[in-house]
Amino acid sequence: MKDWNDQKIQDWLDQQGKISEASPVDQTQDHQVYRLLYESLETEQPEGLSDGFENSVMVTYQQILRTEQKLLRWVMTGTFCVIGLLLGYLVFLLLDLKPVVQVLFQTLYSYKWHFLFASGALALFQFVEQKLLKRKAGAFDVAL
Amino acid sequence: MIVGNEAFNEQQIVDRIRQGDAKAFAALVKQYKRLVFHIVQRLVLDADDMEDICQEVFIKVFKQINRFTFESRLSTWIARIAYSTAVDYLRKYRKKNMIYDAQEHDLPDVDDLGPQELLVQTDISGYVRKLIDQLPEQYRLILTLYHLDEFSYEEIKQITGLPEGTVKSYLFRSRKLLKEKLVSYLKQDKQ
Repeated sequence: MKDWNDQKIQDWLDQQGKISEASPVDQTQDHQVYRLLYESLETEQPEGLSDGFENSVMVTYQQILRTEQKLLRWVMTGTFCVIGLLLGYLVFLLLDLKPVVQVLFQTLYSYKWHFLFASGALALFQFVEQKLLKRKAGAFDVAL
Repeated sequence: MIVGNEAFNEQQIVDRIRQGDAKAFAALVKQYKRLVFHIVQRLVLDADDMEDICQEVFIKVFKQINRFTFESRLSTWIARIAYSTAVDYLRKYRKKNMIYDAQEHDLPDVDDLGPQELLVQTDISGYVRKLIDQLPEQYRLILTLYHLDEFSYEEIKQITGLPEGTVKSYLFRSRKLLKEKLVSYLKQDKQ
């Protein structure tokens, strides 16, 4: 019986939507207490997330985007390399390029130290440039 | 109501996020941070971890946005992610406080507030909040989803995975329990 009364009051308040509206059975103590309870349940708690929460989510989001973009670049570079090698091999097979390749390798061999030095210098230049760019980007982040 | 904002068009926002629009994602975070906080806070009482879990929820939302098929409201889908993230956290780090399977015979005793605490609770809302904190996790969550976030029974079922009958039953029992405690509190207050 008691449960039935509680159920009836809860149903009435649920259907009412706006708890401020007067109830026809407002006189009962249970009803009044339920009204107070509903008001409390619909009151927002004073605590919440910190002010910097949105920023911190966005920083993580940007990091994920950067990682995904980097991965995509690697995948694309790899794909292009494989396609390039396959095309090169195909050209090599279709046109009889054996004599040309022989001459090319002989030339490369005679200038091997020059080529090694140039490749090393190029790799070093790329490495230093990347380092400097990263340092610059880091300084920019701090300034922001 | 969280999703009643006309300026916030779910379809547009989701499409823009899928295209990599950072502003759209920021708008989504702004719109739903309150909802995510409500859910996480109701399940995870540890304030230190709450913010990290909320952040994890939004990162999951971003990573899984392509899976959202508009079969439910965006808020329901996000709430479901928040719920599963918080439950995973509890399973992983708080085994003792694992989701409480609330049964009629083992309802918690919410009379544990000391006299000093009762004195501090000068307003009813504050007292009710204290009582809610002592309820089982699923009671707390269902009360919040229903009253504060205004989800329907069907949506709460989708979020928590509980049958609709159980949702209704938990809601009824928790409100009845709170009402009884509130009656005692008001009587005590009058004396």
